[in-house]
Amino acid sequence: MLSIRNLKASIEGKNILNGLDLEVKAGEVHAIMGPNGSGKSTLASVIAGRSEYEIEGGEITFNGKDIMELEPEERAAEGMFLAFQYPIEIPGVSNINFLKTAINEIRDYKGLGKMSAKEFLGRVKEKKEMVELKENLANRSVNVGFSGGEKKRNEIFQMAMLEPKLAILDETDSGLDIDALRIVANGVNRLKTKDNATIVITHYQRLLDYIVPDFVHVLYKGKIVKTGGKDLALELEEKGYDWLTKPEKETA
Amino acid sequence: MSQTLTADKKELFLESFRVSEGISGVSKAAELALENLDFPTTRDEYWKYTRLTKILNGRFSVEPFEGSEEVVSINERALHIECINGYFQSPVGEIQEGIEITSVEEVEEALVDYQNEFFSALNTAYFTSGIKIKIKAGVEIDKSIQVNFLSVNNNIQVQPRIEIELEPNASANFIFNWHHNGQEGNFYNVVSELKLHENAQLSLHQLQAGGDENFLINTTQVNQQRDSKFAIHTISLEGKVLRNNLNIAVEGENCESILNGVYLAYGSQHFDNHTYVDHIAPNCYSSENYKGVMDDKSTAVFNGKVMVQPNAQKINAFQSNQNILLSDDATINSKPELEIYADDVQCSHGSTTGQLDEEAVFYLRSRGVSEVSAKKMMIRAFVFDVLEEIKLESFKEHVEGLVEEKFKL
Ligand SMILES: Nc1ncnc2c1ncn2[C@@H]1O[C@H](COP(=O)(O)OP(=O)(O)O)[C@@H](O)[C@H]1O
Ligand SMILES: [Mg+2]
Repeated sequence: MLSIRNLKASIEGKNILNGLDLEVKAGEVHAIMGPNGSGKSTLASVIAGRSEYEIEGGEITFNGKDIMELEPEERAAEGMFLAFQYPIEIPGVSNINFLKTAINEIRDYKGLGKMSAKEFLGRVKEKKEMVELKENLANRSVNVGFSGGEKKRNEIFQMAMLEPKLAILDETDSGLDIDALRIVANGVNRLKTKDNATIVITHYQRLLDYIVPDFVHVLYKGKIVKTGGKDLALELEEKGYDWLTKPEKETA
Repeated sequence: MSQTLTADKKELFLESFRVSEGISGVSKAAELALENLDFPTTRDEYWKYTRLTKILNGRFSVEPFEGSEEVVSINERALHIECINGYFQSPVGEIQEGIEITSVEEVEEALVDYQNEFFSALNTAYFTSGIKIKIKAGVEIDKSIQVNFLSVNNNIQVQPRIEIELEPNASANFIFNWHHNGQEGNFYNVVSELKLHENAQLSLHQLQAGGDENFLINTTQVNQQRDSKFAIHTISLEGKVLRNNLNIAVEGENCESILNGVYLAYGSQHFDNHTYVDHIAPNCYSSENYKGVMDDKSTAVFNGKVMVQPNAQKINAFQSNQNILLSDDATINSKPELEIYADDVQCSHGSTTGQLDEEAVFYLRSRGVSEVSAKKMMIRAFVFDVLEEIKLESFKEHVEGLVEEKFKL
């Protein structure tokens, strides 16, 4: 589904991604872990099409399609979704209205007609319940006055509304208490099918108890330095990253 | 040298205005004042950022109009008064009891400062036609009164004069609508004088969309007596050079004055809002909120002054001006000013200028919203609180639609 080859990206002349490879297939859950500043959010942003990053080389294909030249909204229409590490507040833009526009513009991209108001509202109701988003939050300005946990739940609500093929969750677990974590994880698990895929970026093994990954990757200095199964997360929890980031000593 | 040149040009400019014979009274005094007033240039503090050379060099003929054009309606229930080429036509619609409409042949008393302001003097001396609308004491007008300004010729002067008087306890909603009929090169120099007696309530909604090849100088003088409430909403969308001079003299206690404005400029449009709130009496509240979005090479000016006179204790005065520049070539000159001579007052003012929040635009786009839609959403959100203040629903809805369509992005 997603295939990244030798991806190199920089910002303000600083190299952040240094030849990264990643292969994600339909039905899979991938976890990406790694120390602060290793480039996890950058990877997510580059996949989503943020233009501030300079692409120095490599390729990204999504369902066989080269997406490097696509605008962020076209990538969304192709079925990508990014849950932001720091969801932004947008005063005056209503959560529900903007989602309606998003859904209808995506449908337009696919050559489908507008979604009926009835169907839309039905979906809002259903998905809101799924992530236990309080009644009024859905209608308010995007993330304005939301607590940290509410913002993260709103990300998952939007993901549920858009039903993406590939969801990238960037530290959606950080700042969540255990109940909120369970709600978020539950939401993600219920949206999982054999046709879609999830990339979970996280610091903590904790989330992976709820969203069980098929693969765990360690990102360090803009490269994937190790890939393993879900046990790798446990190992990282125990030993930290040092044993991976100083390979010279290990072999010496 | 350049002084004399401007003086010569002023004489040439004035020639096309001196067509009416035998003016007298206040108009004569204004004509005399014009002799001594210089044509404003950017050397004048009041006109520092607004170049009027194109007006100075223009020749604007007088084209009287009588007849009818299709009525432009924002609120179908409103009483409509068409002002075509600067000439008021008979009102269209039922005139509710308590409304008195008369034509002004001669200015009896001028509230505008024609001794010192060139364009006020020009209108007072040579106004094309005048109208007086009086709302009788205690009468609440439930339908709004809509005045449409339009013209049907090119290169003409359009100098209507409007006097509105609300007697004690009267209330009314007005709409001033500048409408474009395809004509070009016209010079609108409009004067409105609004008198609010005790406990009167007046809301004026201005929609300025009179065409991008026309000039508009719009002077509004408001006098408020005690317990009165005044609100003005000015939406500026079209004009080559557009200047609003809004002066409010709050003469009585316990008044409320609301000044709201939205200006959206693109191309080479130049929009200038000068407001002046003069708090003369104590225990009053004034609140001003202007927001602007500028694209391309457009320029905008905001100059808002709040004066609190020595006797005006217990004044609450707020002022805010916020701007978004969509292009590197767009300009805003913003200057909020407070001048306070009383000690027991609460005043605040502020001005900000920024760009559209790129991070927010990316967030929306990452959900599938196109760049254009995302920017439109952000612009609408930016002016949202100003539009929310408009209580006249029909006007608000009409304007919301225009705001959405303004920028091609
Ligand atoms: N907009 C930016 N401008 C400058 N440097 C940036 C920007 N975004 C990220 N970086 C730098 O890129 C590196 C990787 O950041 P990031 O991708 O956020 O890491 P992670 O999510 O793994 O913590 C860091 O050194 C960070 O300072
Ligand atoms: Mg990060």
